[in-house]
Amino acid sequence: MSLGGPELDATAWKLIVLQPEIGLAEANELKITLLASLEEPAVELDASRVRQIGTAGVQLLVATALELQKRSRPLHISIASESFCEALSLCGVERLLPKPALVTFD
Amino acid sequence: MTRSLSHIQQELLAGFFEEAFEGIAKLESGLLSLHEPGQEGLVHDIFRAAHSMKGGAGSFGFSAVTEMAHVMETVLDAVRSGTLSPSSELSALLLEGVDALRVMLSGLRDDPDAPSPDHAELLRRLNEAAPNSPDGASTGSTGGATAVSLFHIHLEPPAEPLSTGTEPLRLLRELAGLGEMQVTADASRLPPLSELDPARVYFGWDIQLRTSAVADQIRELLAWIECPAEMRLETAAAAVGAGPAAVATAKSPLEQRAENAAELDSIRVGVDKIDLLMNMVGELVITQSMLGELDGEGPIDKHRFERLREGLSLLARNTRSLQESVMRLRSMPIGVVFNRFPRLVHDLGRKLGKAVELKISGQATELDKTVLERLGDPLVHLVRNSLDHGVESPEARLAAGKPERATIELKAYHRGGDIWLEVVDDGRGIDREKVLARAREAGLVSPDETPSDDVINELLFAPGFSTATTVTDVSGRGVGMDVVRRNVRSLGGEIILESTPGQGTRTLLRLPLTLAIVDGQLIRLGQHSYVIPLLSIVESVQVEPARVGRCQGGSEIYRLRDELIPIVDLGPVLGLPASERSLVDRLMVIVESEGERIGLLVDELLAQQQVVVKSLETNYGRVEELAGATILGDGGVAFILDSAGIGRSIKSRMPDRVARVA
Repeated sequence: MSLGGPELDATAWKLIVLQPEIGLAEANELKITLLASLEEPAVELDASRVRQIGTAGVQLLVATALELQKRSRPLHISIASESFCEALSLCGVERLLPKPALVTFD
Repeated sequence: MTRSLSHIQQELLAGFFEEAFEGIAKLESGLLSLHEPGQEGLVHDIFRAAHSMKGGAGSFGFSAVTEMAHVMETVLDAVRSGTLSPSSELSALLLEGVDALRVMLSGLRDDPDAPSPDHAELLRRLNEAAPNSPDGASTGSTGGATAVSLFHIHLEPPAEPLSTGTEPLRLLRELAGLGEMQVTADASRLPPLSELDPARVYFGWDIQLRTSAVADQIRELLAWIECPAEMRLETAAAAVGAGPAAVATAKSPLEQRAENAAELDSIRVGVDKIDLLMNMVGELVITQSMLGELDGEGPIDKHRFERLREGLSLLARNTRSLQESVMRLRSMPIGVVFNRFPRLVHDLGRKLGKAVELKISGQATELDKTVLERLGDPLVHLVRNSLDHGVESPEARLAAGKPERATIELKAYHRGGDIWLEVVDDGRGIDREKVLARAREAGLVSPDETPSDDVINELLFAPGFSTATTVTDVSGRGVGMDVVRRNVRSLGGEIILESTPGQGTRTLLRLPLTLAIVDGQLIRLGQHSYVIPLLSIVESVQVEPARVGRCQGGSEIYRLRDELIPIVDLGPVLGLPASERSLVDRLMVIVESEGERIGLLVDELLAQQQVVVKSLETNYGRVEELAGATILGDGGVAFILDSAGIGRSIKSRMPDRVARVA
């Protein structure tokens, strides 16, 4: 699956690699990273390492996705761990975030 | 020794009994059809009823009740898990248990310290019926329960549970472990990323959980997360036909009972409604400060006057919408009242040997709380009447070519500015001949008179009138319909009877949306101001003497277009001296109620305004011609006229029916 849209080359994508654990403590840092990404032409998330993510993290991701959508900027989840996908599914937010292109089984 | 109970304990106890008797009703009706085919899901419901009764009784130390409920629960658990198959014998045994529970609970309700009768023999038989299932029932979770129910859960955590260590995801995971779960997050409260506080939960969740777990288990899980106020647990009448939706909050049983007890004394109000109110109050404050600015020094010039007018009209608009919102706060769903009917119909049906199906619709229709509270008794009367007089015996129904099982419908809906309630049965209808014969016997109708159907229906509302040949303990004492009508009228509503012989009867109740505030027309009569509710006014006319006629009895009528309308001089009716003004100088307000029009003579029409109704009954006593009193803008007091009451009062003074003269 191609990561870039037709009008964007690969370098335009801002890659954010999510930490293995995203609890309340890590959420503040993630917020800063995500806020900065809003200015990028396109954002790609690598969620392959995520072993644990809480409601705080999920909310931040959904808020980012909604914001980027409002700005008509693409967001992709290139690769995601099973734990990450499970958390999104449990949270009922799958329809609010892009489907991961690749899911790894951890 | 009598326990001395605090106010709260008494309330809790009252709540417990209310719930326990509901449980008894559920157990009873469930057990009756438990062994019928297609009722496999029912056992789940009954089991839950026994289980919560056990728990509730335990927390008040009613050990005899706990013991009985526990044994019944054990038997039911065996049925639930399939080790025991339901039969009419088993139902009969369990029904004995239900009867015992009822006796014990009634005794305890009168005196919480009363010793409970000995049921050792029954307990033994119940114990024998239950195969050994060690403690299977007490946890309510074991056993190969096959019935699956669908729960709808709406979860709205408070804003800051994350910092207290509560993680909604963990709860969601636990719930998912119970069965098949579908979750939808409501992200509408999620702020822009820059304003998002990671420690707060903005999501709300709608969860559908298909599970064989019981409500208590889910409730326990939900109690984990400390947000009782906004969590609702709904048992959907789903796959297993689990019966009417039961709503429970994820509070401890004690809190829940307290709430049930206080159900009609307090109102649960959604946050959105409060927010709306806050907004409106905000608007009011803005308008007030805008008007305040105009209060400065200097003359009132054109510009300032315009601003003043603008501000006043804004104020009027805001006040009105504020009032509407507050009125909405007072409304409650009529389901609160309807809920008692399945049991009533079931019991009475059995007592009278009639098979009846009760259909209820429009439970969510909202009514003013005051109206709601006073509606229960009239409705019970009507449903009883339908069951006793309307619905025929199964044999008679079959002979008449009708289905053996009769139907009684209870409906509620909005139409126009009113709430309508209907009690409909498909019974034999009103036997007009019988009513007429009885009325002639009672001297209400002269032998040579053949009144219209409407007049005959009206006879049913006469005090003491009954067509029942035998007085049963259900109805037939003739104290029904006139009381019903009086109750409905005191709520500002009316009652209409429609009946087709052989096909059934429909009773319609029309009730006002609210009692608290009415749109009124202010009128002047001599030195006094009165209010006529705008809803009852048809039109107002200048009296033309040529159109005034006089009847034999001395009463005056007015010919308005093709209609003859009785003229009522309000002065004498209200105990004021008769007006000295001639008819020409006066105005006539034509009001309609209960299908009849009368013309009220007044001296002057003043402003139209909304008035807050203050009850006369509470502070003084009922006055037929008045619906209440109100305080006017200038601090004066005005009575609110009850046009229906005036109509009745006039009729009672005039033996000659105006209708006949016309």
